[in-house]
Amino acid sequence: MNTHNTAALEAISICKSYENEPIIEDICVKIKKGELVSLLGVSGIGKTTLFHILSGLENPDSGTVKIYGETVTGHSGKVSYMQQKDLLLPFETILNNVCMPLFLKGTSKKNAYKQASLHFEEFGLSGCENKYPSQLSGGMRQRASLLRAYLFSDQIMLLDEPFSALDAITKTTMHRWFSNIISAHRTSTLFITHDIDEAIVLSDRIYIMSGVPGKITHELLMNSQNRCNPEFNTTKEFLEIKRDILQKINS
Amino acid sequence: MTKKLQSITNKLYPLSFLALLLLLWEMICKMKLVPAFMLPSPGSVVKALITDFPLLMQHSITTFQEAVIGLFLSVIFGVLIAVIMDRFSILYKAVHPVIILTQTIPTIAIAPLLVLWMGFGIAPKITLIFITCFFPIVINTLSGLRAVDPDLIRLMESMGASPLQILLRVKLKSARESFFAGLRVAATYAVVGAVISEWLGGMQGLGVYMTRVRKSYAFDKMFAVIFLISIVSLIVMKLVDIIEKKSMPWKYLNKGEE
Ligand SMILES: Nc1ncnc2c1ncn2[C@@H]1O[C@H](COP(=O)(O)OP(=O)(O)OP(=O)(O)O)[C@@H](O)[C@H]1O
Ligand SMILES: [Mg+2]
Repeated sequence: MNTHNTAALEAISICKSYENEPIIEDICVKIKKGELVSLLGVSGIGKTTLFHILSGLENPDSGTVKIYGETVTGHSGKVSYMQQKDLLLPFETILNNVCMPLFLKGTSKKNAYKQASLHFEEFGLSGCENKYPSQLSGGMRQRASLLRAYLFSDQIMLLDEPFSALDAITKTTMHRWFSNIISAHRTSTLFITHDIDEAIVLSDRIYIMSGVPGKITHELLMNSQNRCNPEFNTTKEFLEIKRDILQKINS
Repeated sequence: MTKKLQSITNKLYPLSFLALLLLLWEMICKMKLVPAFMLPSPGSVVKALITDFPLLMQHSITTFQEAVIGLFLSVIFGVLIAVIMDRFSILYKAVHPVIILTQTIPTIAIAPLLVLWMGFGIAPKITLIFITCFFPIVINTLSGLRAVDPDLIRLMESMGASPLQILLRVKLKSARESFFAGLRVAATYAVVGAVISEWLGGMQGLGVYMTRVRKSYAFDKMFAVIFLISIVSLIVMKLVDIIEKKSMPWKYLNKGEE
């Protein structure tokens, strides 16, 4: 198999039902190395369910998950997964929380701290190292959780609404910073969002899920040149893409 | 500042109520409403406390030691059993009802048996304290372990954590809060358990002293020792409080910092 063409992450005809109720059906997604793909769909359609399967936390009823061609269905710990809830440990400081994946890998405390503290400023968390999660705002907790996912692995990341608790201005800054990091490290990313603007501005590609049970009904390719234009989200072209997406989500 | 003032006034209410009760008690005795040998006045209780003070101290230390050793052992085994029961659900189903059942056995009823089996030394006393303290610790620790957010465990799994890592880094730490709730109850049981076990024999301890003064109808000394038992209970509880605050800094943020 040619490694240049194998996808970083691939899901082949995934089906999953809960209590005999099919939630998602025949889902196929493919993320190439360094690609940033977003997943759009109404609430309750099964996006998080798909992520649980992709991350290996849950087994699909049928279908396969592959990482660089290797079948990993049902094996967790391979990809970095930031969940919808921030899930910080209330009894650990922010520094210990974000270092958790490093501790689990057996990194010494000193090295973990050193590695983590390099990123506190970029993530807008400087000064929070020794605070507890309850002392942080929702947006800060989300960024801490993103930093934790990032420290686990910058190879393949699954992000479940990573920027949902941020205000528009912080969001724009985070977007810029985030696309820089990912393109620098060639991180392959799949992220769920409810913010269509965010999906258009950030992604190389957009998957749209709709129907009951949830299926991938559309796939849209974005023009990466648009991203360089900071005023792209005020252009007519942008609005047309947005209208198109809205229609497809609701179909 | 206002918080501090508030906590002082909060303490003022029960203290003044207590003072009122003592005053009432003293008056009842002064007016001879109850014969003095049945209800000694607070003054005579204090006097008894002072005259027997060195002796009472020795006895208190023995009781305190027994309580702490018994409590310590029940913490070690209680947490261990709770962890095992949490890990293996078959064991949980099998053992949990039995543990509940053992709680219907009255402590006082088995105390003489323990003395028969183990003699008059410290062993039956520690065993009795262990039996009474074990229950609240197991039950509370177990419910703490089982209450951990399953999403938190999934998160750890998604980061490749082993079951042991999840236990050490998430479960045990999350269960601390409910463990301490159990420990606080167990701490009071420990002192009472120690005194009851001493009633049945032995050379030292507040329970032994209590039996002696009861036999000689020294009611003032009897009350003095009851008072001391409360004090020892309070000391053990305060110790638990201090350990709790030290080990869960995130829960006492506003008081600790700022
Ligand atoms: N463990 C479970 N047991 C039973 N049903 C479940 C379980 N997890 C999810 N579901 C159901 O599956 C459906 C999809 O849930 P999911 O969390 O994947 O939605 P989502 O697309 O992520 O929604 P949102 O955008 O609101 O986060 C929902 O109807 C939910 O009730
Ligand atoms: Mg979701």
